[in-house]
Amino acid sequence: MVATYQFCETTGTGSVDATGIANGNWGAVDATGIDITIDANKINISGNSYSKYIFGAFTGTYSQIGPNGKLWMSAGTLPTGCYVMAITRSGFAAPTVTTTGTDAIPTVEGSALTVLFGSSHAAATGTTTTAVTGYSNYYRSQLQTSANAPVGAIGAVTITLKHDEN
Amino acid sequence: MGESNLPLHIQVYGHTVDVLENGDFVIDGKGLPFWLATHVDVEKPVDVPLRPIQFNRSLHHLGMNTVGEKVTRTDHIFAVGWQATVKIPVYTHGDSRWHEEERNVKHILYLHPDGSMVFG
Repeated sequence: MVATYQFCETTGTGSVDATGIANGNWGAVDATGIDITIDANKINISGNSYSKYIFGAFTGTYSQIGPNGKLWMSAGTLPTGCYVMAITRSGFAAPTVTTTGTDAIPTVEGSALTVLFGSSHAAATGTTTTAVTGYSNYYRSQLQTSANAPVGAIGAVTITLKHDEN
Repeated sequence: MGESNLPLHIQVYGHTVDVLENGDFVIDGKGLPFWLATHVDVEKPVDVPLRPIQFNRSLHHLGMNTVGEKVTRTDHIFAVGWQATVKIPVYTHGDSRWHEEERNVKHILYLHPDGSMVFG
């Protein structure tokens, strides 16, 4: 009676979907499950991460996913000079380090981004879906830094996707 | 009554709730016969499978900038029960005879995190 859920991510110019991702780490590469301890993956100060396109997939037995789809940064604090920009959208574009978006991710549920659902992430334009497999639209994010960002790893943050289902 | 997808068994907010195949509820070991079913039986028997209802509010947490795996989930159940689609006779003014129309019958128990419960 409870849907099976997986966070998924689309990467690359060929729009490759990875299911069941372990984390949504930002980094200097366009990849899933980025190891942030590897130097080549680290973001230079004043630079941006590659943009991330993450979505949810629902399988199993359920009648409906949604409504009340919300997404926000529910835990963690970003240090000075580090900013997470995020929106939800149905379209995908090949990730780049070019500054993507100027909307800071909400940090409280009350101002959360609206998450929509459908039979694919591209078709996720409704507040509910009965499709199995069902999908959310994309949560696109990017970690941006300015010259006063600290050297070294920043603390972990948590993104929460909330929804009703029956 | 045909094949049912019930029973349901949940433990939530300090209560244990079972929804049985015949539509009865058992809450914390106390049986609550399906009175509405008895009433409906007088008018029209519910002779189709009862479909379980369970409303959840789910939160999926994804770690960003983490070392290692960081995916967790929290579920809050806020209603359980069943529904069935029954056919009832309907007479529309001007028709020469009764005809059958489908109606959805629901019996739902709403559960509040403070432990209170309300049938709907």
